[in-house]
Amino acid sequence: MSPEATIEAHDFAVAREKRVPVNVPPQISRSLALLIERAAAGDMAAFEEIMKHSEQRVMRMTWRMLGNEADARDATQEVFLRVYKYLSRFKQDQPFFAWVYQITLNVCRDIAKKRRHYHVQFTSLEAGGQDTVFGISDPQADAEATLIRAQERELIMRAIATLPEKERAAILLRDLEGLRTDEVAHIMRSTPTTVRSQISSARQKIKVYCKRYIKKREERRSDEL
Amino acid sequence: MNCEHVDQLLPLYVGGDLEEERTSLVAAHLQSCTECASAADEYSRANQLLQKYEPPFFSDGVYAGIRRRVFDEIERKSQAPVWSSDVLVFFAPLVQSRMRWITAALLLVMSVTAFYFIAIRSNAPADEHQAVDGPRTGDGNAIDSRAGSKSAGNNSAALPSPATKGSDSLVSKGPELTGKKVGNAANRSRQRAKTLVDVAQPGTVATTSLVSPNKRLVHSDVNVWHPSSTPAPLRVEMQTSDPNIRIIWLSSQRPEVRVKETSKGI
Repeated sequence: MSPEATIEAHDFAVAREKRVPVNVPPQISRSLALLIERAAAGDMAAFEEIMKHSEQRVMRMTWRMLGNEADARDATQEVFLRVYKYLSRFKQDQPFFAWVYQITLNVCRDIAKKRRHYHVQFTSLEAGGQDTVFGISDPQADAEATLIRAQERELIMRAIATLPEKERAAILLRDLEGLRTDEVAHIMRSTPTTVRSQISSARQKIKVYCKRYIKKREERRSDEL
Repeated sequence: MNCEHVDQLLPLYVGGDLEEERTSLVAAHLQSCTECASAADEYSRANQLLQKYEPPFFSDGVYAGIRRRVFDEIERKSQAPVWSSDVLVFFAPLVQSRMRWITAALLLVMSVTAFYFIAIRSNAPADEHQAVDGPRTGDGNAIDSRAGSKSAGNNSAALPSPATKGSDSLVSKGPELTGKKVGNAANRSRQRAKTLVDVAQPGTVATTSLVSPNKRLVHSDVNVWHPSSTPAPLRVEMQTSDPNIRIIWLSSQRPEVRVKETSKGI
């Protein structure tokens, strides 16, 4: 299990590095191993428990990869169908959630291919006051701040949509799921060097995209003033 | 460490993906270079924005619905006939993403090979060729013309070339006559079958039926002129399988009796 770790505070407010273990703590992993064994033998109650343990993680990843709820639901369903189908082949000596992430990425790739035009499928957040969907709505919040938050989410969503599939997967697993580079490399069946290169490229593109947006917003503000 | 180098390392630096030594080198450079520090700041802000890329809140009902659909699908598949799942399992490796292309390539090769052999068989030359003896003359000479040519299974045209210097007349008949291949066919015909035409008794007309390589009947009529003081021309008429095409070959020299030679390996 990888320990929680944070990077040193930095003058430039570098984002705190999240460390989330790919596998659960030992006491839970033993029960998970038992659940996996029982589910592989056909115990549907055990399989349901496995789904409950991992459905949020899978749904989060599919939504981030595909960009809309409908596709995310379909992908999550397909992920669990494949988990059930191949559970008997899962070896207990490998990390379970890494295996689930692998299946998730494969399913997202298949669905994205079917949809073809990936970037079109990213649902716009600006339409119809969808801000309440994102967390608990705070009526006392400043309206402008709420609007800015929504615009920022839209911005990052579009920036993510421009990334190639592998770069997108690498940066989501590394920066948002908090996995280590070697863990990401294992999930993506790649090398840490390649993953670092993909992450570096993805961060550069996101930075350029955001910079353009911020520049335009500042120009608009100065025009208004 | 120069600014160009630092600029390449900044994306990894802001995410804490650099090793310790290089991290400290970059940090030291940033403290002295405002431009690189500004770039690092931009990366930092983009990274903070990225952290806000959180999915919407999904209720328990959404997850319960997903679980229900998964169980329904599992139940549906379990009720499918056993043989269908066995068949699918058997062929599943063949349609996996990596094997798919190999399987498709193998199927394509097999199809092409099968088609090739079928095409070869259907255009195989007729080994037997049929010659119907015409009426015999008084001295026993018979009119015998054979087409021993074997076409290559295509529409190679062949025109009878006129006899030269009293040599054997060459008649080779392909399945059809096409204008395009006349030149080649004429050359081919010289190399292929030799047709022996015996001079029949004057006044006789012999009709022989020849079986061309593709088993299309070609009729040839040999008309022999009444002998006179001058050598009578030899006229050979051949009807191809195309009713609109008839070959008429005229030779001023009388053909000589020669030993028959059949064409080989055409």
